[in-house]
Amino acid sequence: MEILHRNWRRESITRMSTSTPSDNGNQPGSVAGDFPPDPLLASDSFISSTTPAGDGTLGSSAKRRPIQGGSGATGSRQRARIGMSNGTDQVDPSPDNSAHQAESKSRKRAAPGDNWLPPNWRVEEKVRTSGATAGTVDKKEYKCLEGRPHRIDLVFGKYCDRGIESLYYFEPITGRKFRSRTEVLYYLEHGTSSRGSKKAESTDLSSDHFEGQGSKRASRKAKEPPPPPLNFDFGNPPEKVSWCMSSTGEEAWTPFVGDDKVQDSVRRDWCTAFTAVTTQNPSKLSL
Amino acid sequence: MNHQATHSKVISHVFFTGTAKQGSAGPPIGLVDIGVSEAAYIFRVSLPGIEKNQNKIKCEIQREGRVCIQGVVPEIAIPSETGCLYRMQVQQLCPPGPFSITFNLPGQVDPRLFSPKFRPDGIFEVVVVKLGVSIPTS
Repeated sequence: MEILHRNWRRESITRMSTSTPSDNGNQPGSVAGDFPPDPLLASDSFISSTTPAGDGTLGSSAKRRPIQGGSGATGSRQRARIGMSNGTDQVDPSPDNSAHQAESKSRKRAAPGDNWLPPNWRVEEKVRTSGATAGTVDKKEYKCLEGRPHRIDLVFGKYCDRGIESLYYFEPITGRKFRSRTEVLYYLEHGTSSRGSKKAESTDLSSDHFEGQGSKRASRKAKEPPPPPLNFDFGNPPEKVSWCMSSTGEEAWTPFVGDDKVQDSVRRDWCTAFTAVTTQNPSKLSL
Repeated sequence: MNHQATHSKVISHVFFTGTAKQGSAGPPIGLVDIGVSEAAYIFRVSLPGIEKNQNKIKCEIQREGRVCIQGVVPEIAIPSETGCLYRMQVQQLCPPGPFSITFNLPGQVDPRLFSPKFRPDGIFEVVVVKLGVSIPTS
């Protein structure tokens, strides 16, 4: 894993088995119990659907070995799968929800299996608690305990235009999207995307493509502040105002009431009132 | 005889054509025109020869409509090769020195709603809103 920062810990793992159920998971209409590969889940640490929700948490977590992208053939294949998720080569129609439901039964909290992340990062999952899809993992939040960027979300989304569900990692601040751990790690190290083309991908996903994941990409349109009310008392003009032109630079007039210079904020209110009076239909003030 | 002798002594070197010939013998300082609209007054004051960036101009405006413009007419001096200054002998233009122009507007004004503009052609143009004019609150 050459892209890991040198300060980050690299955990070496050994693959214990090469035959995984996910090898069969790419077939359409896979039987129950076969799960598509989860990029966060080691290929040989799949969770049986019969695992109880409560007791299986620790057990499955204990059984789950840390995985690391690129450490084996399975990992590479998983990355390839994610990389193809936007393409037409994706032949796996099995919804990821089956995997999500399975893993949500067993993983209710931070998964220790996400050790591909740097050691100062931790992962949090958000599980739906209501609705027909209760139990579905909406997303995982990878939070950096220090340094930047501060968080990477893993969002389970769907590309509606192609009808293909896919996983992607999501940096909520910039809206950048990553399709694989490789890209995430590259981003964590360099602070930028590995390729310029990835940058454009972060914008091609409109909010319509999300399925209620509580996306953090809520539109942050800058609201124009309403014009402040006119702070001007038409009824109480001062007796006399002296306007002096500055002796240098652009023509600028400074009003004085008595010997005191009028504050700039008050001056702006005067200008606003003058513009309002001379541009709108004025009305006579009953004095 | 006496009149002819005087006439022969003074030979004018300034000639006027057009409007300058019809009116006074030069553009004096302080000619004022005042216009009135429904909401404001506008007055224009001729201030020829006064550079706006070098001579501090002050304009007092009172609520009763009294306007007082103060300024200084600069002295024109042309340096020679030897370092001496040749001062202009003013004959018809306004002589150098401070001045003030005071006049009254036809009615009361709000001295805060005052928009001065010193135009580059030597005309000082001001729009000032009448007293009692407000904007509709609706």
